[in-house]
Amino acid sequence: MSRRILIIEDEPDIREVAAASLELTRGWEVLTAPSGPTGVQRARLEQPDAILLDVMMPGMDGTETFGILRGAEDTTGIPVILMTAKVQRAERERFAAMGVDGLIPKPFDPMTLGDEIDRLLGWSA
Amino acid sequence: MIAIDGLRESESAALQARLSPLRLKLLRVPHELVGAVAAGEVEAAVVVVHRLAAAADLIALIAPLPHAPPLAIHVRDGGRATQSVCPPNVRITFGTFSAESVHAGLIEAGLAVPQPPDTTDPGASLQADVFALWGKFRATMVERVDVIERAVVALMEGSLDGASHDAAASAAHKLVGALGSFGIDSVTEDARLLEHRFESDQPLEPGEIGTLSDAMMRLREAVEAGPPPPESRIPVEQTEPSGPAILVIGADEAARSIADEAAVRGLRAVRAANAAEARVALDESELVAVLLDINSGGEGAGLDLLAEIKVGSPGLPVVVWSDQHAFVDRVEVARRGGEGFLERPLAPTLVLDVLQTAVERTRRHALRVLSVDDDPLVHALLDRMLHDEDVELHGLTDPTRFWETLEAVEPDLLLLDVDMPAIDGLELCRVVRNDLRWGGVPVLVLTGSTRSDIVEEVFRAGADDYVAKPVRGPELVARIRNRAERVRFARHTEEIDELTGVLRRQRSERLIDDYLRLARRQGTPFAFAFLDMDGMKAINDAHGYPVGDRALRHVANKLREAFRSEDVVSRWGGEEFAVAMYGMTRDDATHRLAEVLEELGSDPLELEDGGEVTVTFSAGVAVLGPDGDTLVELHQTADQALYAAKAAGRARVLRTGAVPPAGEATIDIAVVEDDEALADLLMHALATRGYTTTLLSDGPSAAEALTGPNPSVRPRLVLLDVNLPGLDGLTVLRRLVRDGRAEDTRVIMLTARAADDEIVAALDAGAFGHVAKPVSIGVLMQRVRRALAD
Repeated sequence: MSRRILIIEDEPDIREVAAASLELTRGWEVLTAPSGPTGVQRARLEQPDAILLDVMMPGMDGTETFGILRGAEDTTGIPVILMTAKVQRAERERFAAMGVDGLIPKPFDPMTLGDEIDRLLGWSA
Repeated sequence: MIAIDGLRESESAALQARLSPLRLKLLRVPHELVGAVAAGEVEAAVVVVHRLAAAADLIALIAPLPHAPPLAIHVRDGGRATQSVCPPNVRITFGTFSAESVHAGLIEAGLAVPQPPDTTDPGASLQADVFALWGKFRATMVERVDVIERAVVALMEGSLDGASHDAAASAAHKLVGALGSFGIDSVTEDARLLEHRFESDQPLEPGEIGTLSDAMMRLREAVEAGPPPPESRIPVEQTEPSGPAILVIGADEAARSIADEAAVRGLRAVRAANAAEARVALDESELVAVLLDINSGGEGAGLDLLAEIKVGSPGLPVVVWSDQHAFVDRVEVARRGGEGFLERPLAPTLVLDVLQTAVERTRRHALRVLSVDDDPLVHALLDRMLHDEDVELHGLTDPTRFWETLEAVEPDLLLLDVDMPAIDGLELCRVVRNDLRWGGVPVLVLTGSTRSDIVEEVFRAGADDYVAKPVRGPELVARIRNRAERVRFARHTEEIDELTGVLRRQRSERLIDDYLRLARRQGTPFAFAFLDMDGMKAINDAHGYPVGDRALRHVANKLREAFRSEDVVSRWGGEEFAVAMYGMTRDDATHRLAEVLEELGSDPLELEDGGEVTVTFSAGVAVLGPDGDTLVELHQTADQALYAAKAAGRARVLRTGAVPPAGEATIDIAVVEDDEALADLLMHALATRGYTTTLLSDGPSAAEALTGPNPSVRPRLVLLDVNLPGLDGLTVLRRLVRDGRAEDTRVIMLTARAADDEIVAALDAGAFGHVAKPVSIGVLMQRVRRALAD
């Protein structure tokens, strides 16, 4: 079924590859935001089905953005998946402890990004 | 069909993936698009250009055609224009190309439908899309590599500062996160290693240098090579580049982008980084044109290579280009046969336009045939029969669209079928014959019968020949070829002036207009010279008209020898010639014409009675921009300068704005020379080139006129002899410098050959250059041009 995904990512290259991937392989509607604050705003207004959130962003980073999304009543229910190029176990455990719905290591494979999201969120393809 | 033009390979793959199953045709040149539109084959066209001006040209070309299809034009570089100036069926977008935006444009125009991605193979279109995205972000990736590399070097040298350290860590981090997604997996670990290195503040360990350098090298190689292109799953009608190639000589990035652009147009490009590689390519490849970086290989090497190519392959057009800031002696380039000057930075598409124009010119024009037959199979058959001939076939199946197609195709020959449902071919033939513009076009009629009454009817309708169906290949080809030769001959005599062998005015105006448009679009210099023979009445009166005619031919021959294919030489009236010089500045043009004058001076016309007549002309030069934007304006201005040249004593070339020497006029050049013979020679050579001059014959008078608090002569250049009576040249030079005149006045010293001390002293004292005696006028004029260049 068709989904709406919000991608919050400061790097335009990653943003566009991820968007192309989800649009073309799954036909999902993709919303994008280049920073944490914009992402929060779009999430509030457009209520996506899930959010892909980059960890390392200038200004408001992924951890902080996640805190705001979870803390606000109108976005607290939206599942959030973190994207990170860090692979150390300590980091991953820290993210999991924050209560994110999943973690996708970068670089991701654009051919399977949609499948990965399905798997993490328990969506049936 | 949707025609697309101007796309890079990755972009067309992405677009194709998006638009499938619409049929796409990749075109290479605008005229193919015009032809396809005229033939009614195009439902919509997508064209990608670099500048808005090119878009405007294209709209002007396509929009007036009957049944002009919706046109989506994408302008890559900058600029915004209001959509309101466009015809309603044209949509312009700006910025970085994306398949998405063009697709959106087509949807808006009602030509494409938004497609659920699963109707095509999503994997294939994603691959194409990701590959296209790489093209967009490649520069960003390379920049990240650069940042890291600089930091690695600084780290090894012990000069790494905090900011560069952090920037490298961040750049490496971004590469770790991105490269794999673009399909460059192999170096993610290398990027990660570099990221870790710059996350820590540890000092460099001895063993680390090798590891870091290796990782750095692999990373750069992989990023510069980029991901492998996706396998094209959808066939695109694009022929593999093969056959003759363009040779691009020059080692830098610009040469590579030209080669890429050539590939987009289905042309093969061979690159050569230096003269040695170029020689190999010249020997081994079949070439149609050469693009030569004139500054590559050091001082003068480019010019030498140009001369070498022109001697070895005389017919091969060589387009010369250079960096904007480098000095190029355009006159030297033209003398060696270079066909054009391009200055970087310049969009690759424009460079290719120029190259293709150069190729077109050297190629015999294909014969354009319009075939009107309601049976498309006949067109297919003809196409196959004429495939190897030098024929460009346009097929029209709907005779009701005959006139609009005729105007668009402008055929050299018409093939008409007799039996067509709506209009019969003979009817069409009669109408064509009565048309003022098209009445002269040869017509071949295809008939189903050879009955004598039918054949008679065919000729009565005004056809030149007929071919009976079923068409036999060899017969048709022979008849078309026969007609073609006549057309070519007629075309030649129409365009060429019988007496002098140069172009007639009308034809030259069309050509000049084409070059003007190109020059305006590219911001290339463009000069127009108008010439009038001197003293023709006297020659005719003294020796008779046959000698007058020979004098005209003599001048025309010298002009033809001096100017190459890039220039347009034509006879405009009884004793008037026009020369248009694409890529030439005011100075360049003036010098080249002056050289023709000098050549005429040394080669007088020999008379039957053993006498001689020296033939000369006067000329005025105007340039695009300051003197006007159209041929009419340039002609007018050049004519005024020509008048001034006549008034100033004939046998000279004057630029516009140059005032004949009179009273307090500004002086270009002061000649300080006591040797009378040499002084005469110099003054004459300079006057021929339209420079205003003054002569000072000894040291004291030179010092008085040129130096002191209030000099009476303030030239832009002084030609200063070292050995002068009274006061030597070096002293005069030193005073000029002392008085602060050296800012506005450059000095070229005339020194004795091999007097190294003199030369060193002169340059040391502030001379711009020197020329050794005995003076070669050619060498001296080159220095003069350079001294006055800016």
